[in-house]
Amino acid sequence: MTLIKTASAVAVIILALTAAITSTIPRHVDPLTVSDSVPNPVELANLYSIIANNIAYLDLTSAIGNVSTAKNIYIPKRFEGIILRVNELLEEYILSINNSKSLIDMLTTLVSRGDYKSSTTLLPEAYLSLAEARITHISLTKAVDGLRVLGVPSSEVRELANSTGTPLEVLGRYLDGLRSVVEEAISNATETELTVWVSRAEVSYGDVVEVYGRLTTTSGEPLSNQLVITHFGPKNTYVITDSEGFFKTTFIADIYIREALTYAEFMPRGEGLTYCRSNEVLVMVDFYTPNLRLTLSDEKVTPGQTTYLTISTDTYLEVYVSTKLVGDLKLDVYGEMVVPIRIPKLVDEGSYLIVARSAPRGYVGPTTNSITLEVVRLGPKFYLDIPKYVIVGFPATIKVMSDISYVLEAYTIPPTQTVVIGDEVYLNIPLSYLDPEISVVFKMMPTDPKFRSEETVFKIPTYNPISITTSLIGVGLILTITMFRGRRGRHEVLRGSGLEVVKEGGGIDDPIRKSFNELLGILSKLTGVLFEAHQTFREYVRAIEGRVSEGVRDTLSNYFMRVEGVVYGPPTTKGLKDVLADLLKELISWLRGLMP
Amino acid sequence: MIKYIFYGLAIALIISSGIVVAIPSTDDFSPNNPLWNGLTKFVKYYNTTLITAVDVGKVPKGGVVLILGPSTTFRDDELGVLVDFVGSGGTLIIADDFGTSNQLLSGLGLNYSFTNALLADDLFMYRSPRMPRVRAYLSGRDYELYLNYPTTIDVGSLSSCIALSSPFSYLDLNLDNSKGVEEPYGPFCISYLIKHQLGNIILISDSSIVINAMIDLGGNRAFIDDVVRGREVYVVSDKWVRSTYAVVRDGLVGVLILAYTSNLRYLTILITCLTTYLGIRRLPKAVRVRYVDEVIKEVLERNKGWSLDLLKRLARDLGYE
Repeated sequence: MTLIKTASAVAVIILALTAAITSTIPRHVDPLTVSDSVPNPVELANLYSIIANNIAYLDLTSAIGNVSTAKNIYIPKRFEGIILRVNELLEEYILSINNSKSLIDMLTTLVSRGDYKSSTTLLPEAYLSLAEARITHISLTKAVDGLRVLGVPSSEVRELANSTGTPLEVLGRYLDGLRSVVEEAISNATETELTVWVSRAEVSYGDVVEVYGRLTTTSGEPLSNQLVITHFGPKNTYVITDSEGFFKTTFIADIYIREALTYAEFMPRGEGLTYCRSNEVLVMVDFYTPNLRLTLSDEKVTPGQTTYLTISTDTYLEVYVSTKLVGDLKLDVYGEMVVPIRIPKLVDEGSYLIVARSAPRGYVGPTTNSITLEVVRLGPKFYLDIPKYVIVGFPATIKVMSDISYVLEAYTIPPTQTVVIGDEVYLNIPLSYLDPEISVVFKMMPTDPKFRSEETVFKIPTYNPISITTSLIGVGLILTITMFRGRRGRHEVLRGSGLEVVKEGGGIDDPIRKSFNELLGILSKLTGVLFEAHQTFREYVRAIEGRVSEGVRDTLSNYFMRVEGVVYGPPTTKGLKDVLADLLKELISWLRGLMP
Repeated sequence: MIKYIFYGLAIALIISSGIVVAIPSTDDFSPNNPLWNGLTKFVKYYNTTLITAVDVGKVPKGGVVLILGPSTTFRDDELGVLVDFVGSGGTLIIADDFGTSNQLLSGLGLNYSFTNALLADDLFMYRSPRMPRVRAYLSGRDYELYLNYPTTIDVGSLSSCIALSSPFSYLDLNLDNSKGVEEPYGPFCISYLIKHQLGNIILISDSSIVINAMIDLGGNRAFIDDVVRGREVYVVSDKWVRSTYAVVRDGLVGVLILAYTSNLRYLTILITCLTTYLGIRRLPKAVRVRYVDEVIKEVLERNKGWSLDLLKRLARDLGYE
């Protein structure tokens, strides 16, 4: 019943407290509880319209860029397929339009050059590319139709399909125009032929090379007074054919290319002639590539250090040395030259490339070489003399030792008063600090730039003297109280029992007291255990267990119970004192019988 | 009866306190809140320390201090501390989507403000137009940030912004969840970097990118990693209006931590052991008291002449009461 009452009280109070404490409404939205939104159809249509316009105006670079942007639109999973397919087909379509456009541009160049032969080869390829684009566009039109599911109006969808198809018409018409030009030219134009030859197939740098050639029709008829472009490696020049169709020009072999490709081209300007290109002749140009060797005295250095770059050449060279460490240098080197490279103090660690290039000089061509220099910082050695623990409220000192010069910074987490003087850190943690440990962060910044800075954290246990003292006092108090209560407790037990009257003898008759004392003496002799003043009969019986036989113990126990029965039981006619006196005598007599 | 009510109250209080301690607060930005709107992940990822605004002065040079959606104003001394912190090389990140930190911005001498207008994007979003995705550029790297009910920053020129919303984004001024004619299109500035003496101030117009539900979405965490760069992170925690539950819980947890993990633990553990020991001792005694009452009753039935008072005294002598 009591338990039920308590449980009910607990339940009521908990419910009441729970109702009283409520949490506030948060300011954000849990993304998982937000329902998936489809993109706004108007904005979607706008974005694809921009792409369609890009395509229509053949701004294919912007179109591809905007398709990449469109890939980032958020689409709920159930509609993802539609947008994915539209974007995929748009990309494919743009690429095929781009391909067709490139082919048409090449055709335009060939036709303007009069190269109808090559144009004829390229025309079918261009038409094929356009046909492929057309097929892709059909698929795209169908896919774009799917945007209606996302709410894009049909009119917008139709507009998208139409806009994206514009380049097909434009390019198709242009291609047709080119084809007409080519066909007409082929049917009406005369084919030409061009041949070249050179005076020398092997020259040295700076030598003169003569290039000869002849321009004729394919039937051998010379073409006079025609402009021909001759090429010698990267150089070219224009020359006019003579009455027999021959031409001649000279080049100076002042190029540092081992094999100079030599050929000629005829680009007709109307006149019913076709473009032609001559045979190719390779002219070998001889020049000297010098040796340029680089070595470093130290390939791994520290900031502030100097290393020496040795530049070795086998001939006089004008050498340009460039590196991020020291900038650019211009040197005149013949044989060997040593250049000091001083590493800046604040440079970052890492690998640095030193590049050396020589300027060409006539027959001596250019050359280049490079070498890598590694900049490293050394790890400094620090020794910290940290106390094993800190007693808060008392200053603590941490000594930092090192064989290099440095600047020291230190702080604690959480922040407390920390003073750094020279190489010592003084901590003054207040008495109010109760955490069991404190973290101390040391930042050692060497003054010598060849060493890197180090940061390290140490955790030091902390002890609060007030807390510990209070705990010890508390332990002492508790122990004292417990011991004191024990004595008082027993005394109270004794005080409550009527036996106190018998034992302590406050106002008792002498015969009973005498008998009781005699009893105590016999008991202590017989059992070897003294009947203490604070003990009850039961406690004494427990105390003599093992010292006397079971039978004696039980009999003694019965006698004690009879004494208790007399003291605590109902009144007798004979009188308490007489009954007690008789009982004590009986007990004493029996005990005497047991004694040896 | 009164005794039972008292016992009931005491037990109820202990159980309620236990429930409060066990169940974390659901406050926004609470570092102990493991739910979607808490900061437990952020605290774990960056080993964050909570400090008060005035304690920013004790943050070591080069540290990072984050002010998230403050609800209360900053005093002049706190503003001074923040200015000094940034001036000496610290990084101060102010993330706000309600515009409540505009007082802080003007106190820091900055000519920028959070517009307090809700940014929405019907195309580049995550699940909802009010959770737009924006592009951020920092240290030569590109990030896609996922936002949650953000606002925008009013700056002179967008060219210095480190995060911008898409051109399809707009300010939903009338909060009707659709683009109105008078509502401007983006792009808008979402994050801005200001260099001040040796340090930096980074403004972010959404405080939600660090909450548990958002920090792992998109490039949010990578962006924060790039801002923090392995430095110590501190969060100013005394500028939020906390719920009663959070205050009570933090108080209880604080007392428990103080009692059992600080230097007071020696005394507390001792008292706990003693209380437990006494409680255990008393319990069998309570059981024994009930048992002895029944035994006395039986003895009296068998020995009708015996005195009840004397038997009770005997029971006391034997230590049953």
